[in-house]
Amino acid sequence: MAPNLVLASGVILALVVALPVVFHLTKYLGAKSDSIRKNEPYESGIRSTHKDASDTFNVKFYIIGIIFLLFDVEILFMFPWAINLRELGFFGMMEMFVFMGLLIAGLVYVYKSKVLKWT
Amino acid sequence: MDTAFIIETIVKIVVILLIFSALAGIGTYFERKILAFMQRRLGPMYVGPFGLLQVAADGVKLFTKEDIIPTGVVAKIFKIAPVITAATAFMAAAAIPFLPTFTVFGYTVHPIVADINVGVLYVLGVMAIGLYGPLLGGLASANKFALISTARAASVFISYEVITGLSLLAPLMMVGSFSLIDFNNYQVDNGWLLFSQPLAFILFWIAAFAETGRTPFHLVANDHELIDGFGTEYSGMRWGLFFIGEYANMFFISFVMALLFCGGFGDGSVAGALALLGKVAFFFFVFLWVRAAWPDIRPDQLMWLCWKVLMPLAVINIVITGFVMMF
Amino acid sequence: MFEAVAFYLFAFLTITMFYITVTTQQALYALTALAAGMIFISAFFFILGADFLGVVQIIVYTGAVMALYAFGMMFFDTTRDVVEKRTSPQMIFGMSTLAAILVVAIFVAPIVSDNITAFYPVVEGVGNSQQIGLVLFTKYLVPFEVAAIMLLVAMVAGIVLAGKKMDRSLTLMDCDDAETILQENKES
Repeated sequence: MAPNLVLASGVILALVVALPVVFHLTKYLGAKSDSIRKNEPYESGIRSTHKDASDTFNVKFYIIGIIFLLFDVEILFMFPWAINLRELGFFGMMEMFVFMGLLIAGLVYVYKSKVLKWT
Repeated sequence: MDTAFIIETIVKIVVILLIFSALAGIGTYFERKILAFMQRRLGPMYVGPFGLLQVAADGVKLFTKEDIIPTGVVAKIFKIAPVITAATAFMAAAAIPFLPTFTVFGYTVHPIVADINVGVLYVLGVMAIGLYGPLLGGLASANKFALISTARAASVFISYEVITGLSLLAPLMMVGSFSLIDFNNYQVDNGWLLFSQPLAFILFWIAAFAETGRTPFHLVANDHELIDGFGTEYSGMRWGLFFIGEYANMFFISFVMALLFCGGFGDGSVAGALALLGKVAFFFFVFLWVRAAWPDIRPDQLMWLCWKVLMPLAVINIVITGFVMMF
Repeated sequence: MFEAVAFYLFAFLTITMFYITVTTQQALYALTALAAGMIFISAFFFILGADFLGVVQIIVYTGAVMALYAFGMMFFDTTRDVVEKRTSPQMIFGMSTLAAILVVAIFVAPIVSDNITAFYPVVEGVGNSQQIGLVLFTKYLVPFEVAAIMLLVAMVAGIVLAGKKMDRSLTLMDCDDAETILQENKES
């Protein structure tokens, strides 16, 4: 347990401490300028049109998120089974195939429901 | 826990940070050179011998560029996002045994920062966190191109994570452990998993292209329609961090593929170590080769490929592996 | 010693992150802080030696659940601050009472749970993931299969609820139709 905690904290700490210093250095290194037009978001030269950019998103992105969440959970259930396959034997495998059958049923429903049809 | 161990870990982390940052820089050089040769150009030529110092020149340019924070962005998140991309790429490297154990001046070195017994899952987990770089970068910049890129990046990342997970299940069934070192040792005894699990290997490889956002699946920052995607508003070193993250990720996933499917470092001899580096170089080269040879595909084709082709294949692969192992 | 330091460090970080999530007015800060908090929680699993659950915590909560939230956030302008209305003093009173009771409960818990022993204590030498697999597929088999059915139901429900008028595409419509729909959306 100990080493991986140390490592994770260490890596993060090194990056978090080092990077703001680097960014501060770049401030003093190169040329600088400041103007309203320059600091606008880049929209290929057109004045910013962002105001309404985000309110008509396709709901399919969200549904993909839902489907992924559920399949991800199912796959994580399968991991402990996979590494124990030899001990669990034939019965364990059948249990998992029932589980996977339900997963596939879900997948078939997803196919039928036109979520994955992008016109 | 003794002091020597702490010092060793810190030294390893620093070494990994330096090597991977350097690799990311040199990776850009190789990418430009290889793409150039494949397109019958010369690539970088003027800075240094064979243009080798181009990397340094690019670095100087990135450092001296102004760090622009545009109006309308969520400044804090905007600043953090590139750090997340780079940090996750380096964190993932922590669980990878880069070389077999070797001895220098009577001191045994384990070239792995942490030999955790859930190595494969750790790799998957860190890859899952890697999503947050593009996600937060795009959501924080007040730019619709960045936003579209974010939506695409998120949907591609998560869809192909399912493929990564499913394709790893069949090898896991055969090896029976999450540890990357166990994977290596299993393959020493039983031959490469590439030959016993070819389908899983190909699925994982395809998913690797999607997870790193490389060319046939380069929709995240598809230059001709999304400018630079989530990186549009970034400049200077912050954009550079996205870049380092991408290339470090490519090297990291090449290591993972070499370790999981292609025998890793074998029995731990010098030849095995060199072979591992050779395999990694080959996988990295294929990333560049594919970029030169293939056009990008459409987002809907990407989703079709993931959910309707690769996913059933992965499930079938698991079922067949299970039956073969039982009978 | 090391474990105690790690525990308090991560407890502090987790609570700070969730505090930011609750109090901030900027949706993106909330999202980032919540995701970070989820990662810090996984540290507790690692401290307890439950490596598998720690990684699952990261993959499911940070990787999947928060990604779902992020998709939800794409539907509105994340660069603007959200101002909540805090008009109900009863609510604040109720919540703080609940929080106070919780704090008491948490401090009492060690006294009550003094003589509780784990059903499946960590065995040295056997990997945590192996144990989880064996227990999950022998003792907790029925809950496991029920979980599969629940996931299936959740998937169907999610698609049915979120997928109304899914096929309608504003970009493929006539200009006028799209305008009317946008107008309706604004009014509702």
